[in-house]
Amino acid sequence: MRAVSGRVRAVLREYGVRVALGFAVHRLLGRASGGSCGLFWYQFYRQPVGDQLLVKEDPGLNFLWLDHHEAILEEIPRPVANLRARFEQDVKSLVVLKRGELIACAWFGFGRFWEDEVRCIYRMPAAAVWDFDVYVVPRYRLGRTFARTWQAANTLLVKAGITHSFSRISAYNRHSVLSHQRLGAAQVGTALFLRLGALQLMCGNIAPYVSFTISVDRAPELDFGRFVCASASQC
Amino acid sequence: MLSLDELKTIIADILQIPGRLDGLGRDDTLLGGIPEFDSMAVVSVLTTVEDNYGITVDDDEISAEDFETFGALLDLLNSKAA
Repeated sequence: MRAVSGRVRAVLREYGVRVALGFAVHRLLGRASGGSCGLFWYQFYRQPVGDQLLVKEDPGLNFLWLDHHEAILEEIPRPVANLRARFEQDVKSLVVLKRGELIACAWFGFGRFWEDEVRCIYRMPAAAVWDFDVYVVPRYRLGRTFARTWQAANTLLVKAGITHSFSRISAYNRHSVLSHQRLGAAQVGTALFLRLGALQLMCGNIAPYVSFTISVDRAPELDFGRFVCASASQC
Repeated sequence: MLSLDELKTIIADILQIPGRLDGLGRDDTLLGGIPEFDSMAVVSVLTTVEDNYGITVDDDEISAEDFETFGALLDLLNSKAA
């Protein structure tokens, strides 16, 4: 009992009461419904996209910029159907190869991007991308592969006129929240989704602020246009 | 060859904790022992030694064990010296 209360205190200290309560509700709903219900709490982050070198380039790395599915992508531990489905949207993937082996991969959505965990669309302005699912092979995670992947992606995105990327992080994922903050990402908004089967209630501080849907074909569309500055240096 | 004192100075500069590593030796814990030493610090250490000491380390040549103690990291870096 003492151990449990100590763990609860540690969670409350690390996450704060609100996030810890949200996570408890999310877990309870998920367990009781077999995964069809949950309380999803997202924090949205903006990062400037620039072409300055963060780390020295590695001439042994090759980069592939894909806008369609290729077999090499199946080396990342994601369901193949899910990987193929990603390209049904306006999505590009940057694959990092070393000696012909995939060692990292980053994904970017352009225009309107459908979230796959809750029913929601993120609308990107022309100068921004939605970044999601950066993957680095475990044995490369301690070094500079992540930074080099990000650097190469930024170089390509700058050429395409992109000045910012946006991403969402679960408020329950403290490690990822802290990592993004250390990398200089700025939080621009938050949204809470209560999903009860087909019923979904959303509230947040990005327009349309509140949404209620009972149809699986309908989703609120969050517009990130107002978060893009004229240039990356002005943000 | 990189010395232990040089390595400690590099790490203290990166983490901006001047003087805090002064009394530490080869067997003292680095990753997990110095709260500020994280994956971003690893990147900075590798970049600094490559730029200033002619030491090149590939990402797939390192593991968490290499950063466990000051001595382990020092041995790794010196084994990669040109």
